[in-house]
Amino acid sequence: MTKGFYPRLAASNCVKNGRFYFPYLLTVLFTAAAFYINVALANAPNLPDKARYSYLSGYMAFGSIVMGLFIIIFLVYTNSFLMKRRSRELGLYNVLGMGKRNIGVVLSFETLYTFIGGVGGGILAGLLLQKLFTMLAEKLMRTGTVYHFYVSLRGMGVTALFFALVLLVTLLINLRRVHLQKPVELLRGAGVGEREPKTRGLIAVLGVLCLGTGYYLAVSIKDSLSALSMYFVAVILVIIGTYCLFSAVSIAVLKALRKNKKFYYKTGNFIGVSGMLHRMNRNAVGLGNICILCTMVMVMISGTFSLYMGTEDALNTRYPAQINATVRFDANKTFDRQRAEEKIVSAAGRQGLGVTRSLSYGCKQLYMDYADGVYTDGAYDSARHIVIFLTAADYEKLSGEKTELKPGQVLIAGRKTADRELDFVFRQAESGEEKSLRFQVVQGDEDFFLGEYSVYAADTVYAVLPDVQTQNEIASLVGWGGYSSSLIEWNCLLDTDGTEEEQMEAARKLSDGDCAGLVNDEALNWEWFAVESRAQNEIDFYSTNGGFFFLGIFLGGIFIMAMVLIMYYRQISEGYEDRARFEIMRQVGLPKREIRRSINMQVLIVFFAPLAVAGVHVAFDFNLMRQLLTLFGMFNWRLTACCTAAVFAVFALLYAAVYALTARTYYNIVSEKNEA
Amino acid sequence: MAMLEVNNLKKIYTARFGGSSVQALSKVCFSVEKGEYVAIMGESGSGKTTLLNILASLDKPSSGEVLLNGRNIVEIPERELAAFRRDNLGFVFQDFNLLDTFSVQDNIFLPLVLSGRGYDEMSRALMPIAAKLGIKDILSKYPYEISGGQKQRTAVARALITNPQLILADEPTGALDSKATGQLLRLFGEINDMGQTILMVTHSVKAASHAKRVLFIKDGQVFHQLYRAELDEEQMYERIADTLTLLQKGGAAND
Repeated sequence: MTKGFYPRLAASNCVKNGRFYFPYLLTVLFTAAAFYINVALANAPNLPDKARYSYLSGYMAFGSIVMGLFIIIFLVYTNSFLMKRRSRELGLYNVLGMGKRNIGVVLSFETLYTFIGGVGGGILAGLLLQKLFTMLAEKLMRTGTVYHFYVSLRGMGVTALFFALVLLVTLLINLRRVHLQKPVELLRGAGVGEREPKTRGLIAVLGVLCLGTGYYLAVSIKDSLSALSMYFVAVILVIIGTYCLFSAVSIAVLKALRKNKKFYYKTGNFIGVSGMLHRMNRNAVGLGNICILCTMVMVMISGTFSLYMGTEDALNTRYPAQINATVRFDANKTFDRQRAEEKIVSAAGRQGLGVTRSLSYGCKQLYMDYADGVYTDGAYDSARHIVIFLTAADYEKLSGEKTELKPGQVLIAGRKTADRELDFVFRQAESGEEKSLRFQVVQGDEDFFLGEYSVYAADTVYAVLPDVQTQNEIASLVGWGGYSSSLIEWNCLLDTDGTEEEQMEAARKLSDGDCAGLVNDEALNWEWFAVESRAQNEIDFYSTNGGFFFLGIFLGGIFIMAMVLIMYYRQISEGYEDRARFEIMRQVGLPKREIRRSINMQVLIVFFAPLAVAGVHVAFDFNLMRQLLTLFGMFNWRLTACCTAAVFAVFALLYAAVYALTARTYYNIVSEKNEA
Repeated sequence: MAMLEVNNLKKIYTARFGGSSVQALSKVCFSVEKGEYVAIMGESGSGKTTLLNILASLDKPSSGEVLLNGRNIVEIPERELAAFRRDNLGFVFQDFNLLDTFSVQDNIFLPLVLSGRGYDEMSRALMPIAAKLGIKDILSKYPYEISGGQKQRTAVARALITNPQLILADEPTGALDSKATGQLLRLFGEINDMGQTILMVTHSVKAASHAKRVLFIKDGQVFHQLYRAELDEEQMYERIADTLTLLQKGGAAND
C-alpha cells in the first residue's frame, strides 16, 4: 500500500459517514469553543482590585469543572453511538484483508482529524466569540467594561490538552472494541433480533412510587430550610422514577393495551401499540436521558433567570431605604432611640444629603420552639421558629396600623394564631431553671413582613409588645437564658436625595460612629454599629445574580446542544430501522399514507414524551424552587412563575424547531429505499 | 377465461442521470388458469423479479397489461392498490419479511387487521391454517425466537389467511436448509391440491420440479415452458435441468 493510503482512507471515511460524523465534529467544535471561553473568563487578567469582579472568575472556574465532566460523558456516549453504526464498515475492512492494526491506524487518523478540525476550529471560534460572551456577562452583572479582550494562552493550552485526553480515551475505547470483536460479528453488528419486551412489574411499581414520593415531597414542603435539605432527595427520587417510567411503566401500560383484544386489533392501534412497545423497549434509557437533560436545563435557566429578574425586588426587600444604619445595644443599658435617630439624620445632613424620610425601630430576634401556646427559647440550629419582638409604637410605624396594647397583651403578626394566651419561657441551659411571661393574644396583620429579617430559613413570627420596657425585659431574659445575648437590634432607615455615588460615599463615612455622632453620649450606649447603602449592595446583588444567570445560560446552552445531538442521532437510527418495516408493511398491503400517518404519530410521541414529562417535572419542582429562591432573597413567586413559564415556552419552541429539522433527515432515510 | 393473463409486458429502467437504459422485460406473454401451480425460472438478471414485482402491483410496467380475472391491475389507481393487494394477493418472500415487532400470530393477522376484521373472526380463520402449517405451538413467539422454516411457514399462513386469488412466491426456499425446503415444497403442493393458485419465482431446480408447469425466462422474454403432466418429481427435475443447460448454452427458442 502506498504511503498516503491510511490518511486518505481516514479522510474519505469521515466524508462518507458525514451524516453521523459532521454533527459529531460540530459538537467537538462547539464544546471546545465553550470550554475555551470558560477557562479564559475564569483566568481574566487585570481586573480592578475589588471582590465583586472576581465573582465571574469563581463561577467560571466552577463552570469549567461541570462542563469538563459533562463533555467527557457526552463525547464518550456519542462516540460509542458512531462506532455502533460503523461496525459493519469496519467488519468489511477486516474481511477484505485489513488487519486490526491497520484499522487501528485508520481510526487514529480519523481521531487526529477530529482533533485538528474540532479543537482547532473550536479554539478559533472561541476567540471570535469570547468578546461577545464577555460583553453579555458584563451587561448581566452590570460591572461596566472591565474584562478586556485578550488571548488566553492558558485557555488554549488547557482546552487542547483536555480534548486531546478525552479524544484519546474514545480512541482507546474504539480500538478495544475492534480488537475484541470477530469480523463476522462486526459484519453482523447493527441488526440484532427484537425480543419480546419483558414486563417488569416490580420496576414499574418502584417507578410510580419514586415519582409519587418525589412529587409529594416537592409539593408538600412549606419552608426553605426543608426545601434545601430535601431537594436532592426529591431530585434523586424523580430521576429514578423517570427512568422507571420510560423503561417499565410505559411498557406495562402498552402491554395492558395489547391484552385488550377489542382495542388492539384495530388498524391504527395494532401498528401503533406494537410500534410504540418496540420503540420504548429500545429507547427507554435514551428518552430518560433526554427528559432529565431537559428538566435540568429548564430548572437551571428558569431558576437563575427569575433570580436575575427579581434582583431589584430582592434588593428593595432587603434594603427598604437608601441608607440603612444598624445599632446593637444591651437592653440593660441606656439607649435613647429617639435621640439616636435625630443624631443620624443630622449626621447625614452634614454629609450633604437631604433626608426625605426617616424611620427607626428596634427588635429582638430569637430562635424558639413552639408547642401548645408556649414558646420556649432554644438553640438556633434546632428551633423551628424565629420570633421577632417589636414594640407597639414601632409596629404602628412599620405596618401603618393603629396599634395600642395594654400591659400583658401581645400582638401576633405575620401569621394566623389560634392561641388566646401565650407563654414565653426562658430556660437556663445548664440548671434548667425557668422564667416565663404570660400574655393575652391579639391578632395582628397576617401578612406583615419585614424584608430586612426575611433571610432566616425558619418560620418567622412577629410578636408585638406594648412598650419599650417589656421589650427590654424580654431581651434581658434572653441574655439570662443564655441561648442568645440581651442585645437589641435597632435599625434606622433613611431615604435621601443625592446621586447613588454620593449615597455610597456618605454611607462609607457614616460607618464611623464618631462621624455619625453616636460617640461620647451618656444616653447612647451601644456595642455595634454599621451603615450600608442600597446603591452599594445593588452592585453586589447584580454581580452575584447576573453571574449566576450568565453561568445558567452558558451551561444550559451546552446541555441543549448535547440534547439536540442525541435527538438527531436517535432520529437517524430509528429512520434506518423503520425503513425495513415500512417496506414490509407496504408489501403486505398497508396504504402508504396509512403507514406514514402511523409512523408519524409514533415518532411524534417518542420525540415529545420527554419534553412533556420534563414539563410535569418542572411544574412539580416549582414549589421547591420557589422555596429555595427565598434563601437568595427572592420572594416574588409570581415573578418566578412567569420566568419559569417563559423559559418553558422558549425551550419548547426550540425543541419543536429541532424536531422539524431532524424529522426531515428521518423521512429522507425512510423513503430512500422506496424510491430506488 | 384464464385467471391471470399477461400480455406484451415491457419494462425499461432508465438511470436517473444520463440516458443509459436497461430493458428488463421485452415482451412477456403468458397466462395462468385457476388452480395452477406455476414456477418461473431464469438466471439472475433475466427479469424474474421485475416480473413478479409487476404482478404484485408493486411496480408498473412500461407497457403491456396484466389481467387478473379480467381486470387490468396496471390501471388500478395508487390509493386502491393497497386494498387490492390485501384482498387478492398473498406474498411469500425469500427473507420472510416478518415484522420483528409482532408475535407470530399478530404477523399472520396483519392483513386481516388492515381490512378491519374483528378478533374472533380472525382467530376462527387462523386455527385451521395454523394446524395445517404446524405452527400452532409457536403462535405467541416472536420471529427472532423461531427457525427459518417456521418463519417461512408463518409467512405462508399470512399469505393464506386472506383467501387470496393468487399466491406470489419469490424464491421462497432461498433462505432455507434442505429439510425445511422439502417441507415447504410439500406444503405448497398440498395447498395447491386444495385449489389454491400459486405462482413461484425461483432458480432452484428442486423447487421448480414441484410445480405443475415451469416457464423459463431469458433476456426478458418467455423462452420455453414445460408441463409436468404425468412425470414424477425426479423426471421433472431432469427435464428442467436439461432445459436450463440448453438455456445457458444460448440455444434458440423452441428447440
